[in-house]
Amino acid sequence: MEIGADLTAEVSDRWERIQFCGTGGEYFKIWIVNIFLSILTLGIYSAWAKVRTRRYFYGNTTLDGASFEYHATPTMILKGRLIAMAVLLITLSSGYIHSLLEVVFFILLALLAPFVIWRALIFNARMSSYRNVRFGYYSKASSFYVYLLLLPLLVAAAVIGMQYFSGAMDFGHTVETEALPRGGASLGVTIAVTLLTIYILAPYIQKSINSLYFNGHKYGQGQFRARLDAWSYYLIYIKIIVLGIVVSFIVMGGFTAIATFTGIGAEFSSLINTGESELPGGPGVFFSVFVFLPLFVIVIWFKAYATSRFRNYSLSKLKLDSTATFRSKMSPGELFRIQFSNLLLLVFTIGLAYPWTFVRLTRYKLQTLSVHIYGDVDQYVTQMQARQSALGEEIGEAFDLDLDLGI
Amino acid sequence: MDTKNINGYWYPAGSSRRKAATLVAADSSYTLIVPGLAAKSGAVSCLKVSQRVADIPRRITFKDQSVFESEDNDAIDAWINDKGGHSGAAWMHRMESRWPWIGIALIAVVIFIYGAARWGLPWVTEFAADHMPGTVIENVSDGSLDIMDKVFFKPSTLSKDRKTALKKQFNSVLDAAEASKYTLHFRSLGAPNAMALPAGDLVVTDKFAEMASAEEFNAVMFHEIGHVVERHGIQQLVRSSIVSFMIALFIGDPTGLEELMVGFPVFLMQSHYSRSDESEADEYAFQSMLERGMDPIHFATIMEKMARFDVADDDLGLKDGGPDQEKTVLDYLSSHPATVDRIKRAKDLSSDFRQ
Repeated sequence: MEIGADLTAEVSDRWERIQFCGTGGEYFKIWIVNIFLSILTLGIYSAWAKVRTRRYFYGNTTLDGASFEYHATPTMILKGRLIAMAVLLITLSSGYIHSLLEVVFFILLALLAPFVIWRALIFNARMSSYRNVRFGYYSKASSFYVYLLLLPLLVAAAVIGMQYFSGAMDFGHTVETEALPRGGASLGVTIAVTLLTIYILAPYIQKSINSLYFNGHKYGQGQFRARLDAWSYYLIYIKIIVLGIVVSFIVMGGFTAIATFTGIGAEFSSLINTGESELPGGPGVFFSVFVFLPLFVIVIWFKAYATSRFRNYSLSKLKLDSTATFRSKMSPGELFRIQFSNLLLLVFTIGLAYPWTFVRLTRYKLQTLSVHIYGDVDQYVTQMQARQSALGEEIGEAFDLDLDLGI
Repeated sequence: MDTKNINGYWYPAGSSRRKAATLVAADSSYTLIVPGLAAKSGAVSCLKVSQRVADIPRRITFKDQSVFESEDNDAIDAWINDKGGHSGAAWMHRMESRWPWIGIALIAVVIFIYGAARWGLPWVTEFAADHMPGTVIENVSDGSLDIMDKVFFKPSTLSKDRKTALKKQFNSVLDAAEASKYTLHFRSLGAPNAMALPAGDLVVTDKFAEMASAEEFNAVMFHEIGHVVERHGIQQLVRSSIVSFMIALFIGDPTGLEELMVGFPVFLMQSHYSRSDESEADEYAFQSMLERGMDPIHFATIMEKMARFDVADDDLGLKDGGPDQEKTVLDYLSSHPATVDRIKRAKDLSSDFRQ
């Protein structure tokens, strides 16, 4: 064990696992009472419910023998929610006064979204503590506008531009006023270019968002740092695409084999040829079983694969001062197994198994995370800060807009 | 009263420097013993105790903002509640830990959700659909027709004269107000079909226009007008939005996987509702035909023609399989009531009409 000369005797170099000791049964009781009381109070209790749920999950998460704690009060949450509700009501009802007004309000709301997400991060960080020390989030709102609004808008603009281009070519060929795109090749080109544009920018945007999230966080006076490398994100995306191609070949092969073997293939091709628009009885069931379900399973698997890879990578780069580093060892197969069985549980219990499924997933996410502590964890002190502006941080929480980290 | 020792950790105000500590709880006072520091005493009424949630550690905050943290929830409850309760609303935890309450909550929630789906949702849907501004309905209609043009339809290959003739004869059975409200659109598709958009656009496929006689054409159009009059399209839209929103709210995370999961129940429910929508539209058609002195038999004959087309093409094997398949689970997935029943209903009305 190597200890720096300037560190106190209490410091030891060690790996600690994050533990989660909540159980599905315990959470079920809190969850069902929360829903019951929220219904009874026309939603007002939901603010209390949120705080109790958060406290349950934070309080049951322990690291190095100490737990986390959530400090927001229900009245803060309620205040934020009332403001959010008022904003939404005004937006929705403005359409009755003038339809253009509603559009204006929706654009304003969209412009507000990055700000709200930024506020929510500040609020949540400040309301969380570990070992009696609060977290904090410090970063500029402008970065949120760049990565959450500007860049995605550029992608969208490129896509729309592409569609307009191909659409214009199509309309050129048609004679009637009921002009319709001829489909076929140009549609394929549009889709390809669209996907290409999205996939070229997406890893960079995701890396930037993850970096914005980690590097903005503080623990007391301590600063979190994560030097993320965009190339690593591109590599993961490339792996996913290659895997995707391989898997779709296998699935197509298997599907063709089954289809010819059972004679369903004939029905499938006739279905495609006649192009029936409504999908009643037969084709509906057919699509659910042979197209929807396999696709569904594959999508879950790919999401699990991506999540675990991005999570393992970004957390392995995370550091807190010279005190701690992190390591996540999430396996895509295990995550998929949990998410898939959770889904089945939810479907077969019409949602009542939700507390168990959520606890299971949370436990797996947390317990695959370990912390290498090699500095003095006693040195941290909550940073006092000036009261926030009039709009408050609560508003951020209320809209329930999360920064999608993809991890 | 005896004193009780509660073990835990003590933190100085705002600091992570934690020390093992013992809180000696007496009748209405306490003594905090932290090794290496002078013992501190005070009155219970000066303490701020965090509310209990299951068995997560409790935080007791002292006047100087230093914190004592302990997992000995039961000892803290026994002590604090004795003193008239400074732990805030202890009833929440009491509800969450007693099975009778949990049972009541569970039953009430299940009943509520069932009731909301059974009666609340139809009521709200109808209300919202009736109060939907006309501009919104027009936008929705135009948008859907655009999408379907891109995905399903090809331009109609019928001659201009044929289209004009069909429009003319259809308008002749409508009164002036109706004629201005409904617009016929012709499109090409592999199968005979007709559909209505909420703003009053009636879309018919070439195959349908070719196989239907004038009376049959009008019979189906009255069925489609029925959908518009009863606002089925808008109701479907409102309903699926509400349900998706509620499920997202319930599950808590509207992004990612759950979004996919929401799709299936919504699809199931829609097909259930669309069956009753079809029956309503049928009834509307029969009513309109009888009022105008038209024989409902035309509805039966065109349904038979369309069903025969299906069978000939052998692509909808399960849809119109006759009475034997009536009671299968697959039936629930079918968006139309069994065609046989609809034909029978039309024939019954027709024989009444002829008498």
